[in-house]
Amino acid sequence: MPGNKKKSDYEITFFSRGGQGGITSCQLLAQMAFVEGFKDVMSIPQIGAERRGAAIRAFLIISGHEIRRVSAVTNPDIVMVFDESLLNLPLIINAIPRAKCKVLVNAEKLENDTRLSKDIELYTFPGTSIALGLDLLLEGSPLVNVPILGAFSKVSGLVSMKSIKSVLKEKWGSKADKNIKAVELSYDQTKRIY
Amino acid sequence: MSKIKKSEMDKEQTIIMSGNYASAWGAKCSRVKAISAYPITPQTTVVEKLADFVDGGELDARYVKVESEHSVMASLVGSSMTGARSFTATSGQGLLYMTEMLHWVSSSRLPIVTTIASRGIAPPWNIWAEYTDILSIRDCGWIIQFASTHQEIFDSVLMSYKIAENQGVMLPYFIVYGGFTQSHTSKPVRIPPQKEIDAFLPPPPEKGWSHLNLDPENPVTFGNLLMPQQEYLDFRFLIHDSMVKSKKIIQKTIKEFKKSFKRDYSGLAENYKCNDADVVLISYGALAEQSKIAVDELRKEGKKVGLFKLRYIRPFPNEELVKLFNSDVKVIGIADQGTAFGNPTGGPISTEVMSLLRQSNRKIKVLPYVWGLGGRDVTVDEQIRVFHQLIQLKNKNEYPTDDTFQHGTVWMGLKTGA
Repeated sequence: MPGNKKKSDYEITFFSRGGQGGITSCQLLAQMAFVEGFKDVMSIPQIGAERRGAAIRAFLIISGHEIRRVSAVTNPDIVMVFDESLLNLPLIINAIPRAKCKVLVNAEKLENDTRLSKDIELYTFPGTSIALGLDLLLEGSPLVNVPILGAFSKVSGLVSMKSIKSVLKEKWGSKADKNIKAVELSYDQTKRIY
Repeated sequence: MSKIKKSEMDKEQTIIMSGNYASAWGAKCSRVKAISAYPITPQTTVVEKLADFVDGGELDARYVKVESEHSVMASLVGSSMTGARSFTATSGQGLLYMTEMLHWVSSSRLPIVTTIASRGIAPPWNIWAEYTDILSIRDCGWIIQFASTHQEIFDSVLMSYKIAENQGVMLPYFIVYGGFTQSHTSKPVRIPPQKEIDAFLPPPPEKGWSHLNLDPENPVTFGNLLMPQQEYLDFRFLIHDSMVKSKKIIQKTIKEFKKSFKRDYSGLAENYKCNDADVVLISYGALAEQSKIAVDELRKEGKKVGLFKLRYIRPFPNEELVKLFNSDVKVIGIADQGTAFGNPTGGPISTEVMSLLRQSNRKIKVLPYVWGLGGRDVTVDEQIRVFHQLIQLKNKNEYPTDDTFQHGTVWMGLKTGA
C-alpha cells in the first residue's frame, strides 16, 4: 500500500449480496494480483449464506511471500461494500475496522451519517449506474463485480489497470470490451469522501 | 483418446484454483480411467469438475453416478478389479457410509485413490474442517496422507497412484485436506506439462494387476469364504506388512517427484526447525502448516521451538518420531483436529505418538491438545499461546490450570457449561 512499503501482506474483505457477484469479484482479483506479481494469493469465500439478496462475505489475502495461514481475516486493510444498504447491518459495520482501513462503497451519493468510523478512508464509486449504462446485467440485476475492480485499483494502488484488463481479456476474450469500459469508468469516477 | 490441449502437453501452467479443483486436476493429470461420484459438501466440486473434464473430452474416463457413497466404493471395487485407475472423493458422513467397502478395497489390495475434504461429523450438522471422519476409519488398511497446501493436494494425487500401484504396496490411498479452509479457498497451483506427468506416472499394466484381474473371458470368484485354518490371518498380516514396508516406496516416490518437478515433500513427516528445539509441537493438516508462522515468530525472540508436521498417519512415521524424541526436545505438544472419545487422550493421534515414547530413553513431557473442531478458528496468536504453554511446562513443570485443560488434554477454546 502506498506509504507503507515494508508491508507485504494485504487483506481485503468483500461484503456483497447474493447475486451481485462478490465471490466472482474476489476470485478475479486474486488472479489479477497474481498477474500483478504478488507471490501468493488466496481467495476465501465465506460459505453458508449463499442466497439471493442475503449478505455474503468473501476475503482475499495477497502477499509478497507464501501464505501459510488458514485462519479467518479479521483485520482487513481494505473493505469493499457492494451495496450501501449493507452498511445498515450491525454485523457488517462491526466487522469494519475503526482505523487504518480503506472502505470502498458502491454508492451514487453516500449520506455522511453512516456509522463508519471517521478514522478510516472512505471512498465511493457509482458501480450500479455504470453497470446499468453498459447493460452489465445478470437476471435483471446490475453486476457491480466488474466495476468494483477499477475502483479497487485506484484506491489500493496494489493492482494495476493493466493486470485487470489482461485477466478480463483472458477470461472473456472479445466479449471483455464492455467489462474493460466498466473498470475504466469506475476508476475515473471513484471519489474520496474523507 | 482425451483431447488434452497442446499447450497443456508441453508447458507448465499456474492456475488459481480451489483445493477441490486441485484434487480434480490431479485425477485428470493422472489420467484416471474410472470415476464414481456421489455429491457431498464440501467435496462436491471435485466430482463436478471431473464431470466437466469428462464431458468436455479432456479426460477419457468412465464416469458413473450412483445412489450413495457405499455404492461409490463398491463400483470402484469393480472398476479397479479390471485394472482401471480408479478415483473418487468424499467427506464426513459420506466417508463413514463408505466404511464397509473401504475394507473390501484394502483387503482386495486395490490401488484406488480417494481424496477427502474433511468435515465435522453430525449431529449437530457441521461441514467445516475437522478430521474425525478420516481419523475414525484410520485402521481400514488405506494409506492416509494429509495435504496441507493446495499445491500438495494436486502433487499428492500424482504421487499417490505411483505409490499405491507399486507391486510392493498394492494398497488404497487417501489424500486428506480440510473442508472449506482448503477445499473452497483458491490459491495458485502449478500444473506441470502433461508430457512430464506421463513420464513420472506411466499407466497401470495393460493386463491388469498381477494378483487379481476381473476378466469376462476368464471368470473367477474372488474374496470367497475362508475357513479359520485357511489364510485369512495370513492375508491380514500381509496388509500390515505392506503398509509398513510402503514407507520406503513413499520416500522413494517423494525423491523421484522432487527430481521431476522440483518440489520437495520431505517424507512421512516434515521437521520444521526441530533439530535444536527443546519445545516441539506435533500436528497435521493446514493448521500444522500455519503453525510454522508461530514457530518463526517465537524463533525471532530466541525461543527454541519447532514444528513436526505429520504428513502420513498410515503408515505411521515411527522412525521419524523416535529420532525426534532422541534429539534435544524436552516438551512436546500434540494437537489433534479430531476426537477419539474415551481414548487415553482426547484425540487419537496424540495417543499414538505417545505410544512411541517408550522407544526413547529420554524423559519427555507431553501435553495433548484438541483444536479446531467443526472449523473453530485457530489463529496464529492462539498457536503462539500453545507454544508459551509448552515453554511454561518445560521451565516450571506447570500444566495449564484453566477450564480448557480437561482429563490431561487441552481442548482449545473450550466453553465449559455449553
